[in-house]
Amino acid sequence: MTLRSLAATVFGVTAAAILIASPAFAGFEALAGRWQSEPIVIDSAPACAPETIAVTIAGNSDKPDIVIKAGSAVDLDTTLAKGEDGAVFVEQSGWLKRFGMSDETQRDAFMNLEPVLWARETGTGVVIYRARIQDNGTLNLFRLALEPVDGGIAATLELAEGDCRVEPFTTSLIAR
Amino acid sequence: MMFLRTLVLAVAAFIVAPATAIELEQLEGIYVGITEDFDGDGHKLAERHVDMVLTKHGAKGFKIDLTSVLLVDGRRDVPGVRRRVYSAQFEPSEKGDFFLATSPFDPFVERESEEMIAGEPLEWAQIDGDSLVIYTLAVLNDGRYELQVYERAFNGDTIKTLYERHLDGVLQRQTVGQMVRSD
Repeated sequence: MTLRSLAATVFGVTAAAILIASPAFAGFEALAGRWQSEPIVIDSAPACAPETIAVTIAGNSDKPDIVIKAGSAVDLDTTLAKGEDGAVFVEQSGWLKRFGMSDETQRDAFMNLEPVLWARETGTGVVIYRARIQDNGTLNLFRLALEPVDGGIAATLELAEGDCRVEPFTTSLIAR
Repeated sequence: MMFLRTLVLAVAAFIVAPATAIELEQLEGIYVGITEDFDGDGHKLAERHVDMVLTKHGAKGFKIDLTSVLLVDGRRDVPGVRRRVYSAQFEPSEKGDFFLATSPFDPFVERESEEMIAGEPLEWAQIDGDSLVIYTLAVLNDGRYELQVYERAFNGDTIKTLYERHLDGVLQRQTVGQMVRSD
């Protein structure tokens, strides 16, 4: 065995070992479909608490189409695009598709009281965000973490809408 | 910890019994007090002496200068004591009934070595009843958000204070305290 073929063999075995050891990456692709929760029961539920959560994810993995309905406070229908760093998906941004407050487009959107949407892949799922400053200065914030589990999705929702606040809770979504 | 926050706000609301939003002019002054720091699980971490100067800024804005001294075993005259100074100025927003910070201000500066921030945080303030609430929102490079909320509930010459720092929805730090107007 030559040195070159030995190196190739070691590389191949190492790569195979890494592939075997690594858990399957679960981004938007793994969540594609139409998903719906059972009726949600929350003790002393605030007015903005959703009774159900419905999520549809389509499109391609770099440009997912996302529809989310969760009570009266959340009714999203958007397409996000992967930002320049490949880690964060944004709805609107400057031509560089930078993300964060350093992106003038998003910073202006916040200051103009527009909702700002973004998402990130976590390795085990995705997290989708919407934030907006209200005209009285209160911050509205919506956060939904989605993770595939046993043929369904575990969804963790957090919501602050004016004075109404839903503490994070997790529920299951099943295919519709 | 949410219970503690609720309790503090409930007590403040009971004492203050807001009828109309407080005027900025009523808040101007020098205040001194003590606060207690807790971690996200409610464990007490430290005490601070705080000193705040609230002044008018421009025609309708305000400025806050806050100094805090982190005590060591309740003392401020032994090694390990830390003094921090924060300053920010706000002017009314043209978009709504709130104030926007008008100059760069980075309350995260003391954590720079631990975690980099994607961009300048966005900072704004609102007057909610008898409370002055300052929000600082930053979005990190990886998409997580960090939100700091500093609420000061005024009751005459006394202020109940509540500060919270959340990282992607998880409470990381809470500070509860009281200040009083200095003569």
